[in-house]
Amino acid sequence: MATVRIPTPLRKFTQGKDEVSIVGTNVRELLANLEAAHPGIREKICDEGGAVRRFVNVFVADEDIRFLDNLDTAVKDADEVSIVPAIAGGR
Amino acid sequence: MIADVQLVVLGAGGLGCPALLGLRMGGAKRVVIVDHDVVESSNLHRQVLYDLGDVGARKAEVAAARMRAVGIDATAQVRELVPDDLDGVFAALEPDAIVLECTDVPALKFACNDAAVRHGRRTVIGAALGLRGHAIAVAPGSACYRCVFEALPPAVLVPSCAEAGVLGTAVGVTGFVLAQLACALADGHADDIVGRLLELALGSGIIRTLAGRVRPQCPCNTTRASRLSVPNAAT
Repeated sequence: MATVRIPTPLRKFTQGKDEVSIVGTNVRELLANLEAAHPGIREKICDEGGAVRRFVNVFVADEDIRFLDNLDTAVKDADEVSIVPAIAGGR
Repeated sequence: MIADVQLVVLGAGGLGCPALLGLRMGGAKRVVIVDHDVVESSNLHRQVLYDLGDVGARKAEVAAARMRAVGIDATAQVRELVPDDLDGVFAALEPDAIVLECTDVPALKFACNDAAVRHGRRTVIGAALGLRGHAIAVAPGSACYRCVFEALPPAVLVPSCAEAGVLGTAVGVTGFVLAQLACALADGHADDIVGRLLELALGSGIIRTLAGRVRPQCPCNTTRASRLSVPNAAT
């Protein structure tokens, strides 16, 4: 299982967990399984067409999937998958 | 060298205060501090340039006074920035200036990035929320903030510190990282880090360096290419 790191705004879907273990051979499959385990989370990450939203980044082993094979990027069991939206705080 | 560079800090709050302290520790000698806000007692635990006697005073003016007190040539600009102001800010900079974006306004981070690319200048951009921090250094020709984050996220995904909370140490660490990135840019030692997003996951003790490539579809590419074709545009 890959380790998926969950950003603060999406932890309401993962019972507050900052990381969850999810099966998936590529990002597309992993996101589908993430949604199955934590309903409602995928629509925050992906648009209606299934593409990753423009304001969210997905990294597999610290590499941006946009520079790899996007949703078809392979995921290995030991990989860390990070979901990274922009954050804005700083006051 | 950092001592020779004009440093402009946008925002003198949770990120700006530690960034200014970091710049001081790094040897900065000239800073401009831009902020419109006043010091509140609830700020004091994390906005460490201020004390109880400063409550009600303009942050930019107090911060500049604190920097001057240790021998730094610091000036305050009391003004509320909006995204359209950023071109004017960058147009007024010295050629080798570095802008540190330390506000909590998402649109300003994108505007600062875009203006830096348009004007061929250097900037560092940061944010912190909860136990997480982001920091990126942008220089002419490098990947930029918009290469990493394509667009402004909706409000539901960017809760403010007031809504989601922020640990004072998280903005502190992130602010110091911003200062270090500025020092690295100024001293010419940023090649390995420029254009890469540093994600500080303080809850898990992990610091990641993410991406670092110019995104082919980045709207800044046209500007970036034209700036690179102009001799001496970059510093």
